[in-house]
Amino acid sequence: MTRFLAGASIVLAASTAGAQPVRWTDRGYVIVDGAARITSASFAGVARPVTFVEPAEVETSYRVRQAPAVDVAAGVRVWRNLAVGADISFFTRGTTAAVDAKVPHPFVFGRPRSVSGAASGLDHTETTVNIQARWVMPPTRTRRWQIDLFGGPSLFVVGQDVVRDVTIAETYPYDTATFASATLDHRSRTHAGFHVGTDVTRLVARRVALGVSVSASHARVDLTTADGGSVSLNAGGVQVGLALRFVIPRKVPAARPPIRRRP
Amino acid sequence: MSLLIRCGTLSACLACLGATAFAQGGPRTLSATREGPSDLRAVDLQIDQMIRSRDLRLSDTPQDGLLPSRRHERLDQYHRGVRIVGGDLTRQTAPDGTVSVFGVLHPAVGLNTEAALSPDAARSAIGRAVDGQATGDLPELVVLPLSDGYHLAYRGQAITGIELVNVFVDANTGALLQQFSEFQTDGIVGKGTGTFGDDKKISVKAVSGTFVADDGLRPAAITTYDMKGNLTRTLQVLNRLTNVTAADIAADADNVWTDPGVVDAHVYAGWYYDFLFKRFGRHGLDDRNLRIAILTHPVRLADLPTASPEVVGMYYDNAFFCGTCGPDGRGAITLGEGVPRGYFGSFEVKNFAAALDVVAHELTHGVTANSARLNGFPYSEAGALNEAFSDMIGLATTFSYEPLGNAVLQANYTVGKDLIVPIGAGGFRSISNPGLFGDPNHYTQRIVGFDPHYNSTIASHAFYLAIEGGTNRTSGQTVQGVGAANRDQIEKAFFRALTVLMPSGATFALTRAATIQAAKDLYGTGSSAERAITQAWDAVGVQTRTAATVALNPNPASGLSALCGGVRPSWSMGITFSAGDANLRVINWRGDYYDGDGRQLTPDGGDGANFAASFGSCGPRSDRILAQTDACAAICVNLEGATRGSTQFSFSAVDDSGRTITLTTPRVTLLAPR
Repeated sequence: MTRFLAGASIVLAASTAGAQPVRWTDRGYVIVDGAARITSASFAGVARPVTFVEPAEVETSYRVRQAPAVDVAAGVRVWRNLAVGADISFFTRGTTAAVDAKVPHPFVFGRPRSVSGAASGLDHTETTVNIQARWVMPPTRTRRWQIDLFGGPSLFVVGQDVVRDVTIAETYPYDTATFASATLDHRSRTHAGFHVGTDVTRLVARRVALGVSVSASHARVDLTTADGGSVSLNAGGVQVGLALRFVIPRKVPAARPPIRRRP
Repeated sequence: MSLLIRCGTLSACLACLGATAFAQGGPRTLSATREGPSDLRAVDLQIDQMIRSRDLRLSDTPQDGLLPSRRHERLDQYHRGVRIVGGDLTRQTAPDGTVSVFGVLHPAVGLNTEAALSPDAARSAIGRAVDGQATGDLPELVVLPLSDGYHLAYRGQAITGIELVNVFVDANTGALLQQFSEFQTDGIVGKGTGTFGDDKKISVKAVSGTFVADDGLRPAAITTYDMKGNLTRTLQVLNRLTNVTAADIAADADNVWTDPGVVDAHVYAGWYYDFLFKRFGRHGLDDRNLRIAILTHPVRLADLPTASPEVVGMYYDNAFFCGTCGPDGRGAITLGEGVPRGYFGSFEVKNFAAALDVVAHELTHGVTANSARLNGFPYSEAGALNEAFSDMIGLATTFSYEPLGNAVLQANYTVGKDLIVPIGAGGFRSISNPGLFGDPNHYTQRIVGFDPHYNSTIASHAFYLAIEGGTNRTSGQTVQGVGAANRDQIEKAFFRALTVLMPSGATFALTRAATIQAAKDLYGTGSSAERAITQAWDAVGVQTRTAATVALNPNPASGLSALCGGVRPSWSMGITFSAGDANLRVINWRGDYYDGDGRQLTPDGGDGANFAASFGSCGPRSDRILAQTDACAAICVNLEGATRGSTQFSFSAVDDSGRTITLTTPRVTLLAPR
């Protein structure tokens, strides 16, 4: 949080430095970002599946590592340098999980067997729809460079494979067991959050610009497992990417035909 | 016996086997260990020779769950191809040679084995002999040792009313020689409880959309049957007149079981199986995962008012193991329905499934039936030991699963504590203080030929002392136990003795030797376990039986207002004459009576024939008492109308060498009736 606020403040400072801001005149934009999520996320969950008529306790620590993300944004200028648009971001990553479980004994209550193991390849997806207000600041009159400051509410659709149970290897008399695998449930949830960020781009062609983007987003999402367990995770994160901007130019009024007088 | 004939001379055999081994006349206990006085190597060679001559035949090779490197053989003795009942031995072998031999052998049978009766004719005779119906199995031709000598007999089973009876008939005449119930019961009239609202896990199977009490998780099949109060069907199943069907298996539609009798029975049987496995490495009752069958609800509580006392005593207020009952005839336990408050008075007897130690007790009979085979016949000490081991292992099971305490679902040393309501008011037996229930804590208090549960506490009290230590109330001897934290050492030693060392005719003395040997096997010579067990047997007065003894019980005796010989008051007493290592022939006996002032009243008694006529409680009436066996009588004493006084009895007998011995009981005080 602190990081992206600092970034935003730099951009704000840049925008206010010019007493006479250069007017942004484009009609709109389309931006495609190839980004990388540079923050990893750790979260934990507990599931209590009923095993041998007694609730087990399956504690799982998840870790979502850095991974590529894709962003597509589009917007139109609505007033002076202000544009309103939308951004769709997609991030997916296989996650790993460390599982510690206490599995009930089949014959007696209150004598769980402890097992530990790891699960990998758990799907984690985040699809984010960002409603975006974007302040566009060409720093020079040539308008070759452009600095954008954007932010707004986000709608996160988070999908996560969560560990809902474990399978164990056990033999009579069942006093000990070993971890065999994790049983997964794919859970998804939609939750509101927010995002902020900045782009710095430079025109490399008449209507195409290249640059970098830094953005951050966040939402707290609670996933529930089938047996009532829960996994709370922080969706979003900081991502840095290359931005490819397509300029939608201002409409130039067509030249009026000359008025022909009647002879 | 042919071995001894092949030996050349009997004396030569005696010399090579040791005096405690094979002596002439009557059964001989064989107790040979590496540390013992017997020449183990010589005994070993003789056993091998007997195996070659087929006088000993291998009946079982039990696995040793505690010492896998040890081999065990259980060998039955045969005479001219006919098995001798109670003649068998166990031999334990380590990689470096034989470790121990325990057994009871019959050295000089001298019996013609040609039977006049065919097996079919014998089966009919068996049914007639007990006024019952012989079962379908052909009877087995056996040599039956009784106190008046060896008999060629057929052994079979018959159903009489509510019991399955083992019957021995003379193989030539069909006359009844002996009978005893196949049901090994824990028949204690007491108070009980039911289910205590505790949650249990029950291992079942799902079948056709319902759940049945058939354990699907343990290696052995454990099946609990719900006889639905149908006594007729229960008897048919027990007696194998009909097979159990899937419909007999207790079932529940939603797997939330609400029948406490079924739940407790099934769960406790599973726990018992687990205890055997975890504690002793044993795979079920026979160490081969023999299926366990449990019959619940053999009768209906609603039928109690019209039930006969025999049915109440067997199927309401009782639990029992039957070694040849149930599906495939390999044993089943039946758990009584209990007796509600009011029937016996102010207490209630709960369903017998409610107590873990009781279920484990009955199942231990199954272990015994598949190992030492202590069937209670013809050696009544074996019967007491059978019950003793069931109590020991039954209580040991509770200590493994329940916290210590005196409340329900807690473990202490009282058998059947949980069955009696109000809780804490009773139980069946205490192995920590047997006298609490009027049971003996010392060998001198035994009553031979009496209820085996009664005499059992001599051995089970030794088991207790070896664990907890303490002082025996009769001998005053103190035992340094291994401590409750090491109870497993004593449990393992006793269990090892039961399952791989003891023969079917084991006596208390032989059990002493076997348990000490087991402790040495497991924990080494001089170990604390060996010391504790030795001290414990010393404390309860169990030693190798060498000299003959006589006992008169109880002492003091309480007077009754009943008539005795037309005179009141009377005293009901038991006399036991126990032979030591020599055969005896009683030539006369005498009873002396004294009134309260010590004046002698008219004595009575008689000669050997009179003795034979009177002393028939432990076997056929005879003036001969074979070595290591007992003769006993239940007597009624009167003091010619005196209300208090004393009595004692004297016996004269001649042993095989012609030596006359005279034995006199202690003078027993006869208390005035109250």
